[in-house]
Amino acid sequence: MSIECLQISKAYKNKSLFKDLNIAFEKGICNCITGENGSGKTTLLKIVAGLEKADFGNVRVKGTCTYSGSNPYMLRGTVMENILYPLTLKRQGQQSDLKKVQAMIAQLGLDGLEHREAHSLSSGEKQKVALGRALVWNPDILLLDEPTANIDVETIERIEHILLEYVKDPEHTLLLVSHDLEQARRLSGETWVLKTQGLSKVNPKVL
Amino acid sequence: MAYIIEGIKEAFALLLRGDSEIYQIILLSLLVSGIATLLATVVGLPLGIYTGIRKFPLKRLYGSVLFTAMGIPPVVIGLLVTIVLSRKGPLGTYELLFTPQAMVIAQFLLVLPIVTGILFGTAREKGKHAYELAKTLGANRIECLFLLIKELHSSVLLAIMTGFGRAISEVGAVMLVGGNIRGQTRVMTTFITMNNSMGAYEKSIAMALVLLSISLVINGLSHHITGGKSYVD
Repeated sequence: MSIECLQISKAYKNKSLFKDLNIAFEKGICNCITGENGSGKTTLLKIVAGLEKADFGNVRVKGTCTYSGSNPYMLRGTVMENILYPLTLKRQGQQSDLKKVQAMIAQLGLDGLEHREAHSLSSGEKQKVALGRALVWNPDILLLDEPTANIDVETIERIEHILLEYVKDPEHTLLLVSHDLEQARRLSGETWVLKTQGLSKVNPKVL
Repeated sequence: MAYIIEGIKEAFALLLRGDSEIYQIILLSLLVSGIATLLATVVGLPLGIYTGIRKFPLKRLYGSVLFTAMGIPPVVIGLLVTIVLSRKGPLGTYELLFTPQAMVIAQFLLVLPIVTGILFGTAREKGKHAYELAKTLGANRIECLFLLIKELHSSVLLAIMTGFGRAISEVGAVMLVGGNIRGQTRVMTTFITMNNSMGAYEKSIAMALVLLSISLVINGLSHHITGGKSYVD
């Protein structure tokens, strides 16, 4: 297990999102969380990412972890500079970094946009840049919130293929929030529905 | 009207003659305000950004106090520093009163809330997303700070420019803590005040022209850097 939530609870303005949540997410598969709007899916993901604190309980995360939200923030600079940023933090070799970034751009179908200002992209293109930026440094855990929300069907297939490749590595863990039940069926090793009572594992084929 | 025109003519003559006292005063003014702004930036930049992005109790109150401090009258700062540095004051033994160091301290206290306040406001509005992104991509605290400086660079430059503009143009604090001593603590603003009270308008106008030019350059740079937007935008 690379992510363990131990008795975590969270409330917003006296409304309980979830209470005493106990859950462990498996390595090497895609863990998909679904649920109604306002059920706390994004909050749970942010708690796991360390961006928000649970009111009670602990989260144990083993390994490097990255989070990409549904409305991703673009850094000042080009698409290439955005995707390169995590590699500059890791101080890896400049030449190999550029090759990795170029490969990621090709994989995501962002060819031709390398030198465009990231702020000027459409929301779908921004989603792809954010995904590339999250994947390029090969973290152990990938937390994605609605990664294909504004993306066309063809690109969704391409992204799902990339995500399935990612979880082929037994050391990788993918935790994904999605409203798209078809996507949950296509990707999911495990699908969970978040309710105030907790997370319940479901069979995506019967959703 | 004639004496104003005559004053302007004499002011240009004074500047072109290369009066050493005038240039020494300009240099001291730039040095004192420059050092004070630099020190205020070193402290205020990380403080403003850090407090802007973090959640903590009484943050709204902290913001209100900070924004109030941005408009604190220079003479009040001057009075406080004079009390602290006077012989009977807690730091009297250092004998700093009526020295350029005392002027730097007073202007540092004047500029610090400006730099901190502008960056606090910007980081609170725009810095959170950049900080979260850096954090989730494995950046440490220093790397997060550098990314935020890069992302908020126009506000950072605007804060520095505004702080320097405030320091170089204020008269109350430097008059009280510096004492306007010829050759030692006389700066542009105290020089103008003194000559004005003595009726030596040509000297006042000459220095006012220099001060105005510096202010125009600072404003022009701020305008250029921010693309014509104020930091509130």
